[in-house]
Amino acid sequence: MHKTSNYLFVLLALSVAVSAAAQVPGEVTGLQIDGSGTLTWDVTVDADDYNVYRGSLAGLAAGQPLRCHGDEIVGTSFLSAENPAPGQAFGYLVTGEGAGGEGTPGNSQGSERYMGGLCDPVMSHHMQLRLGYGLDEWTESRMAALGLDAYLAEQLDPASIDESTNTTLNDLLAVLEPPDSHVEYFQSRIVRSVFARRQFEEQVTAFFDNHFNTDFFEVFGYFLGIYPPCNDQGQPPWCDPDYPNEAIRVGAMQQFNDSFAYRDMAFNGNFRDMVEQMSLGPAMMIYLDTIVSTGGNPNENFPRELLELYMMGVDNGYTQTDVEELSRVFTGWRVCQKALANLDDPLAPCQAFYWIETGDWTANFDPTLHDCTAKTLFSGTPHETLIPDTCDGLGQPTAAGVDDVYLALDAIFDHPSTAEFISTKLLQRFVSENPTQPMIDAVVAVWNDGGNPAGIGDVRAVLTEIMAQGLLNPDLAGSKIKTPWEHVSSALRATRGNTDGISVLLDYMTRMGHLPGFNDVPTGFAEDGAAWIGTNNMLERQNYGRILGFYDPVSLPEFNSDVMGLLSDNGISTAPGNAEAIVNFFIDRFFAGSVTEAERQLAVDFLNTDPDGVPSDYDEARIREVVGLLLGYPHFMEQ
Amino acid sequence: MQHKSTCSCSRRHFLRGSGLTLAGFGAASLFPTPLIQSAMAGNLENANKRMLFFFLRGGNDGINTLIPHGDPDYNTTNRPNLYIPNTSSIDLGNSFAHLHPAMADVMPMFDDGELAILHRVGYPNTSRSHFDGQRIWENGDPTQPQMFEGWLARYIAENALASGAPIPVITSQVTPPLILRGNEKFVNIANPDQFDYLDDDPNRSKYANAWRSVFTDLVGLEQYRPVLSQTGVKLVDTLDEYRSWDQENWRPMDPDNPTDELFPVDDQAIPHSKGFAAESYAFFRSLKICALSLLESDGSSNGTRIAGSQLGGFDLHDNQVQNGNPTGGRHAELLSWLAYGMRSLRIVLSGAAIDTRTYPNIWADTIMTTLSEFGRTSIQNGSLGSDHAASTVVFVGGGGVNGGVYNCDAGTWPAGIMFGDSGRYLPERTDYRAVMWEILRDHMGASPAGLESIFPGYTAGGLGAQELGIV
Repeated sequence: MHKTSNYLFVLLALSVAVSAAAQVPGEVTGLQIDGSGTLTWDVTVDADDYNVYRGSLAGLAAGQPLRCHGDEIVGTSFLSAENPAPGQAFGYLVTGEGAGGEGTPGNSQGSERYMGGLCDPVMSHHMQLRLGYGLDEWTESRMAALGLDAYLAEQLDPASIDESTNTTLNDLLAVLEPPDSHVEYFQSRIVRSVFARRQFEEQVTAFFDNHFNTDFFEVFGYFLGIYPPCNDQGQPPWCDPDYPNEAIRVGAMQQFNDSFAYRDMAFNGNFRDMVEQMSLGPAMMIYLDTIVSTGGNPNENFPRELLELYMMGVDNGYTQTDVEELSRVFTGWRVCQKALANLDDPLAPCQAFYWIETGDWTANFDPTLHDCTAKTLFSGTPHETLIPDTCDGLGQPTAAGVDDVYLALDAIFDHPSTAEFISTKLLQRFVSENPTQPMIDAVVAVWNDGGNPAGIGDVRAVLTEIMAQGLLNPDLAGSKIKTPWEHVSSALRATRGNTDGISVLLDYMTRMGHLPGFNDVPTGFAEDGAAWIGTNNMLERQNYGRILGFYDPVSLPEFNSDVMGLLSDNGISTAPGNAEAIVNFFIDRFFAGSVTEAERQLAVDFLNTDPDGVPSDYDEARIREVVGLLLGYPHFMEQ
Repeated sequence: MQHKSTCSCSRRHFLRGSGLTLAGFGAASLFPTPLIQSAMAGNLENANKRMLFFFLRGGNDGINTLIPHGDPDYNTTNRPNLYIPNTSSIDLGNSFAHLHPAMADVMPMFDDGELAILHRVGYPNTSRSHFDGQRIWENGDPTQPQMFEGWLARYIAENALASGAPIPVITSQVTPPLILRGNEKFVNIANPDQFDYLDDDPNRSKYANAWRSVFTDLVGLEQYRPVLSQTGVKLVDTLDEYRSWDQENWRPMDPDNPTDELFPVDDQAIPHSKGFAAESYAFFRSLKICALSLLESDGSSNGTRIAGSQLGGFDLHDNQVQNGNPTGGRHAELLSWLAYGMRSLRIVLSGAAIDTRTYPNIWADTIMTTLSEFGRTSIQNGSLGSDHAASTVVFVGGGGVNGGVYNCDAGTWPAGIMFGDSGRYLPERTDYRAVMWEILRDHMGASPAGLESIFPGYTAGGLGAQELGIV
């Protein structure tokens, strides 16, 4: 049945300064809809713009609040093009918004209509979750100071964001980067996601790390043979007195180096740069067997994935012949150590051993192991590319074969499937799991614009277009599921949490099956929410929220939430009798207020009752318990 | 990413909210309540039938598992280190096939005619890729290596197996297997000892009640709301049921060796006579959950019908055997766990374990099967191991199984067949789908009408002719 409410939504939660002179707009009148789905309404006094809300009637009957559908609409009409599901119908409501704040939604059966989740907080929340790992206090104040558009622009230009005063992050990274082990590398990724102000930079880096996934244990296994334990026969530097720590360190460094490069190239380079970094990075060369591929016996592992996973998408414009041709291209590539000055020169000499200060692992091209005959990619198509014969007069390979890889990467990069596939996957990650063709076309158009600073495939320009599509559409809010990584980080951020990047959290991310850098499958972790919803995953998310709420900064400094400090600093009394305000504070913070009245009341009752359900005054422990309850709500799993 | 749906919902008129404003909100009763999941009638005829599956991940070397000793190509030239002599392996009595000696524990089941050992199971144009290969064995369609939907999930949906039961299907492994991925979400228990909320009662119940309420009533336009709702409610129900099993305190013992646990899951004061490595405990812990889930079923359609897990580590490119000892090494170790596990399952499901609890004998109603993405090269490699190849061995055990050796006898194993695929690999003789469809149809009671949606292309591919009559 229709639920009426006398709960008055707290406008102060909107962070809108209400000046004494400005009037709150009145109820919007004259709302109508025509057969094409165009809403119209009357001009409302004191409104500068309007918010459009929508709900399915079935949902509204079940107590679901209206959802923001059109944010800050200028003028008095709005096209709502989507049809409801069969047997369903939509209901609409429009409010005015002006200098005095958002106007009343009006009354129903004598009470003000229940509004959970107003457009302003919902849109802020949506942007925080899609750009980064949800809100924390820095993000909250920054967004309030700049407004959404300027905040987005700043995130798209990470170098403009001052991290020098971010002592929490800087102190942690001073220890963790560069990593001495795979554990430190894991920690650095987590603490960056939790504490970095450059939130979008971290999300984008995580995307490309995952897109170009490598498995630490494969890489480490290779170096284990390179850095054997010292024994009676072995002498440093040819052996590792702390075996296997050097193999661990070098293995982690290869993944870290790639990640560092992607972080830079995503905002200052193009996709072609990234692909070359990945293809000729020791981590990938070891992981997918490039280092054993030889003329006469080429290995198809990496070339197939280069086409299928990293550039063009499965069966999207290439053939088995292309896999075989590309496999011959990638023959003769090995990894070795070179002097720092020579790291970018595949033809420079290898050295048997360098200390880290003077040399490092990098790609080496050995012409004697290369197939020097000509290769043809995309034969018989408009994209046919000849990679010329580089044999000498006697048919023997020459150093000129080093260019095969660059020519091949150019050809694949230029193939339209690459722009289409990467644009689509980015849209799926940041905007919608089901991007429409017009959305894809718009991103591809930006990709193909050679006038961008980094030319065709300029990643930052592409990301700018993608976020412009995703962050301004309220219908997309909550349409994706957080990955476990996003889940654990966003819970820490929303509760003023602290983490060393490993305590408690590693255990939960292991149980949820999301350990970046340790995934042995080249596909990386799934981008779709269905892969992350299951009873086991949900249990671990709920237990994680409970344990995060449980620990305070004193009981476990390495992993905790500061629930009481957060309430106190926001002027919420934790004395008995204030359950509504405490619950409302966290509901606004965790879900932008987007819950039903019943869902809100349930948490209030939880706080007001003892474990047996008998009403009693709450204490600090129970306040922490209700935080755990709310972090286990389905709404917190959405983004 | 939108996955293939099993729903072919008919198009209906779209009822648009034309002209509806807030005035329409009072008319709630005119509109249907949110549809969460419609349950169909259960298949009562085979309501007692149960199925267990174990995926041997990495590609099990079938040639050294069910050894074709009748083939002169199985020799020390092709397998200088891997070759297991006649005298060291177990003669299976058809003058051709021997079993790896590490699997002696399955011999009572084999001798009683309850274990079928199938050689040369696979599919055409076998993928050499682990991930494609595993996906194909789990998604049921070799033409779509990128389809992320399981054939077992389709069977369950087609036959409404999941209706009404608190835990109709259970897996116990790190993450849920693709074989069960589909619209419906099933229970996977990654950590059997920690599968519960953190609080003890009464606070646990307080949480459970609150979350049950939130997830039950969850509505909204967000696209994942229905699946979140279904999964969250299922979780609370599942925890209640699972807790009632008290799995930590169930320790069935081996009737032939009363100080041995059938499922050695930790370091006990009395060491297991088999001396299994500690890393085997996770596998046995999973088997124990699978067995218990079936035993706790109450014999109606209301219990667990399908349970599964996995055993990893079969990708033995190196050190498959010990140097100079072909029956020692990693492969032997993995096979010994598998064999002991299958034996333990038979004992507990037959009600034959030394057990403080009394469970019914459900062995006649149970079939267990293994899967593995491919076999390994007929010639060993240079590092005491073998590489990715084509067909492999499948074990099918159960009270109603027609036991014996299949596809590994003089009549079905032509000369040169070990190199019959690409000059390197042992080609398949029986499609894995023919094996699995027999189990679904003849044991689980799958409706034949659902065949093509479970295994697309089965009929056109003539796979029915490859069925072996194992059930």
